Amino acid sequence: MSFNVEEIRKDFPILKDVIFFDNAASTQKPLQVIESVEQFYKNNYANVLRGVYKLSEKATELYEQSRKFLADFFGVKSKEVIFTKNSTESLNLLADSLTRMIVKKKGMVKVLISVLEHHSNIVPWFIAKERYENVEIEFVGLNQEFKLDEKDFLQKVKGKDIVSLTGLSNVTGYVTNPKLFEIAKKEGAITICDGAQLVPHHKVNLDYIDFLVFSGHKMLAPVGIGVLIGKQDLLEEMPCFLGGGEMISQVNVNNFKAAELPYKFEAGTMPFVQAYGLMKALEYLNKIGFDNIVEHEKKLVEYALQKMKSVKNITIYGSDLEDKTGIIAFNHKRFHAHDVASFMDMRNIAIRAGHHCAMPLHEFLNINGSARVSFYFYNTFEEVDKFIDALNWINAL
Amino acid sequence: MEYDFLIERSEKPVYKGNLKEFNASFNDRNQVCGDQVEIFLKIEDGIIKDAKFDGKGCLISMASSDLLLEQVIGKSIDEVLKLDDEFIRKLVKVPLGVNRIKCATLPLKVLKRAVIDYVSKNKN
Ligand SMILES: Cc1ncc(COP(=O)(O)O)c(C=O)c1O
Repeated sequence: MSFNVEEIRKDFPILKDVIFFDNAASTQKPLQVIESVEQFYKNNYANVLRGVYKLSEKATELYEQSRKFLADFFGVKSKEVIFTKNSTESLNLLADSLTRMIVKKKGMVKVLISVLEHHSNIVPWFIAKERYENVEIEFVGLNQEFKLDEKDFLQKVKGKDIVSLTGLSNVTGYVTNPKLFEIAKKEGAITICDGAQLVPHHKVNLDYIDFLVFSGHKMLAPVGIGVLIGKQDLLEEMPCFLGGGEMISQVNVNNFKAAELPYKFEAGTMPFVQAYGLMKALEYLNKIGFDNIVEHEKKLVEYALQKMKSVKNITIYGSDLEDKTGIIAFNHKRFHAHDVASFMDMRNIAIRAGHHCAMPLHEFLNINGSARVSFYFYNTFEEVDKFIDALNWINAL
Repeated sequence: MEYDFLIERSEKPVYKGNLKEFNASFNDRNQVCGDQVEIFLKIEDGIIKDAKFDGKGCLISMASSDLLLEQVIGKSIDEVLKLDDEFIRKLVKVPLGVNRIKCATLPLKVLKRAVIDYVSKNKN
């Protein structure tokens, strides 16, 4: 399909009123997704999996159809697709369950993450350490360009049981070199890719990734649905995370037996309507084409970076075009990041300010916070121009 | 524009610095912007005789600190404890949403805690 931003924007009426540059936090939703969810509630709604009446069966079909769609999209089996509420829950599940499994087998677990990580890929490991004690957590550092330091990685990866890295930094916008997952795998580690920022924009190759996590709300889908994709043998060996509801096959007064995959990890009534919305979102993205998405965002970010470099008083964190995707973190020499965001808001430009849930990274950069613009395929060059105008206006204050 | 006087006030504060003699102080942060404000007070006979603040953060929190201290010097501690967020909204003038208002009200929170600590220490 040819890529036409103006046509696409008709599906997102809200974009008429705002320049939305906070897509890394969450994206807007196209009418197709909103309407599909509405239709589900209007015509097909009942709790899934348990009812024997037609309505429940219909809802169950749509839920399982969504799982199958995701499985086909990623080239995995349906039972390897676990629904959660977001990336954070998926990572908490992994940190808890994998730690418990490995500590039980070996007495301890060695985990490698990086200073780039979102708190959602740091804190669950610290919590696992509190719970199961013998957990060693090491951080890969960054190089001069704020990319993962590959030399440091090569040293630290040795002997690790788990390597969990972001696939794309939500602050620098750099894609992680997929080779790192391959190296980690060859070193014998279980590999986890935090795909919260990667999956909405890129097709991911799972050859060397044991677990991939992501959030629907960052890729056009409703809030409340997340995904964990994992290798069947590992998922089968791992102990349960949350208990109750569909994750059970048998319970008596002494014990319980967990259900088969994927239900083993799906406790309680799941966000099944949102899962359906996620399928519709993926259908929409497929129609646009991931190659088109990457190409358009690459052009936007190159254009924005080139213009931003000529604006005075701006410090950009990571402007190397190689590996760069549509996220730019920056600071203004005179104004605090939140003030910059408030000034932008006066011109109806929505940008983010703060530490973006990546405090260790900001500590590394030796700053309290930063302002961040993040693009999606529906953003335009004219919007970037208006953002640049706003930066110049801020400079003139 | 509406922010001009706040920018001016945050960059050329009148009440920023240290107080040589103070008998009340408090220091706090706000998670929204990572703002940090410390306030020093010289209280005599239940009246705020002098006040200064120190800290770093967004222009709203810095300007609001400066504007607030200007208002409270000469006021009694009872009057200070009655000040509310509405008072701050009027001081900073620009409209602030539910998140950003916390930057503006941080100095008032700090001021009141300094006064409350002072009162409880000097009870007897
Ligand atoms: C890299 C990364 N990981 C994890 C998350 C957490 O996503 P969620 O809040 O949807 O769980 C985010 C969200 O900002 C992110 O950018």
